[in-house]
Amino acid sequence: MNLWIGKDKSGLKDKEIIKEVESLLEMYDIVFLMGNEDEPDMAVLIQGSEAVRKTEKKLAFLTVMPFDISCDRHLVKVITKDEMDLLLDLYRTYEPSDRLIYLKTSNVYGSIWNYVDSGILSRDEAIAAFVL
Amino acid sequence: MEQSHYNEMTENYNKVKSSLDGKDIFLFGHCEASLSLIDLLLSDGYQVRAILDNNGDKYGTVHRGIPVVPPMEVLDHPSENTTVLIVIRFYEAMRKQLLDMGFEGTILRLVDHNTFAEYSFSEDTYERKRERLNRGRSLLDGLKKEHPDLYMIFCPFNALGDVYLCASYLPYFLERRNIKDYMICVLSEGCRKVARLFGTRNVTVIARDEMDPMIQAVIHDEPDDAFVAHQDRPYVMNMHKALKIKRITLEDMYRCGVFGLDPETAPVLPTCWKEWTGKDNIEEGKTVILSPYAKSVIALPDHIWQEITDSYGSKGFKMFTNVSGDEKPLPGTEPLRAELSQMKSLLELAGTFIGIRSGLCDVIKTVNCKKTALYPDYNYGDTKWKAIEMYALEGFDNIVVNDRREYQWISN
Repeated sequence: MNLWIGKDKSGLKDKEIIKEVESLLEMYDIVFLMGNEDEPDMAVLIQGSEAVRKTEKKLAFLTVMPFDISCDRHLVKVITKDEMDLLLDLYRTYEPSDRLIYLKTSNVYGSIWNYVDSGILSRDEAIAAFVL
Repeated sequence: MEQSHYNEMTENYNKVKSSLDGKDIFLFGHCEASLSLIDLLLSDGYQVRAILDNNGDKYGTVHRGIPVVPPMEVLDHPSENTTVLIVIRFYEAMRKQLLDMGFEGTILRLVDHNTFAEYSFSEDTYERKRERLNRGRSLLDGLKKEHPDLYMIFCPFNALGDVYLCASYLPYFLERRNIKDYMICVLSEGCRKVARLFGTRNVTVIARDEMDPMIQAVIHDEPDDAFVAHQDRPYVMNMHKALKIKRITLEDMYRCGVFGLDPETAPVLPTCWKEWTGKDNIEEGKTVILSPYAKSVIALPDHIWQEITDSYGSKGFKMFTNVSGDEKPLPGTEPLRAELSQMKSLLELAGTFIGIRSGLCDVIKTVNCKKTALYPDYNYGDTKWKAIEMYALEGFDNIVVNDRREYQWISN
């Protein structure tokens, strides 16, 4: 069960992080939400991904834990946990953009990561599927 | 195209069609829904300039004289006199693409396939979607009160084949999660019947305008007793993205992507068949059942069916067209209305089945007769994979139909 249920959600008005995401979507092809849990694993995957290095797309990663990415085209932006919770709440309320993508899986639906677990895709192929 | 969507499209089309007089009309998205709309437009005397599509493999394709072209070509026409009609679920993305290209003409959505998307971060949008989410929570609570202690499986797409594949692998998934009692939630009576073939006791039909908010509630709140079983709907599903990297069959999308099972997992087979009780005069082993209609597949040209009926007719076969609703039998054949649960018995008596590749082909996969699945020559979604590469069925003759070759429909 998600932790933010029942938290006061006073809408999006005046939320700087929302304006930030809109702005990032203007400048970048895809904006990824890294999520709060298991993030180190995902960060390592992204850091080591050949597809991330090679893609012509400009990628922005919003994360609560800093990590480096050796490509000037892309952006890693650290945000607070509250900001991430707000963005995840938004993402799970409706689809505000087809270029705002949450990388993690969920217990209530299937995932590309299941292909990795079953050997159909490698981890780097899974990342490539998101960024190509 | 679901009947409810078709009705909505027709209703909206009738509302706006007078505004199309004298306009350069384009459709965005080469799909079965767009082709249905073209039929409506042409029957009312409108001319359609082209179908815009992002898939380069489709350029050169022509439907009723209307070519498929790159979206940029719409800019060759004066915006003030141009209308783009959109009837597929990617309306929000297509509208944004047109605006980003600099298109300033009229963009009309004639059917709202996708209630999950609205490409806006405005307070107003968020509040409306929040209300929708809360409605979904309330509906879900009501469903759970009505059916306490049942794990809910939602099938968000109204297609027999999807429900068939879901039911084929669901038992393993439930076993792994140690779930004993469950209910499958589907969008139509046809889908309910498919789930019933597998012996599922609890299957309920839910209207689209209730199912979508409930699914949103499941996505948002991630309850422990619900699961959304589809590979690309709604937007949070990401399995289809893998098709950019490699071909993964629809069956593996369900088996591995949706349910997280090993690729070697064998499907559970349907067992709840009934005997054919129809009064039609089926001649054993000398009857062909034709199935030319499918909701979500581009129709085959009439001449293909003519060739097939000519071939089988000349060999003395009795010929029936499987119909439902107000569908018409193919010329030279008799209409036949068969329950899904009787299909196995019927086809094994008849001996031969030829149908467009639809969900019915999934349902009869295990039937012991000569089976042929026909594939229009199109790509799966916006991928580079042909439909036949995604949908080919074991035990069938799988045939791509196009105008570039001749076919021998029956061996001598």
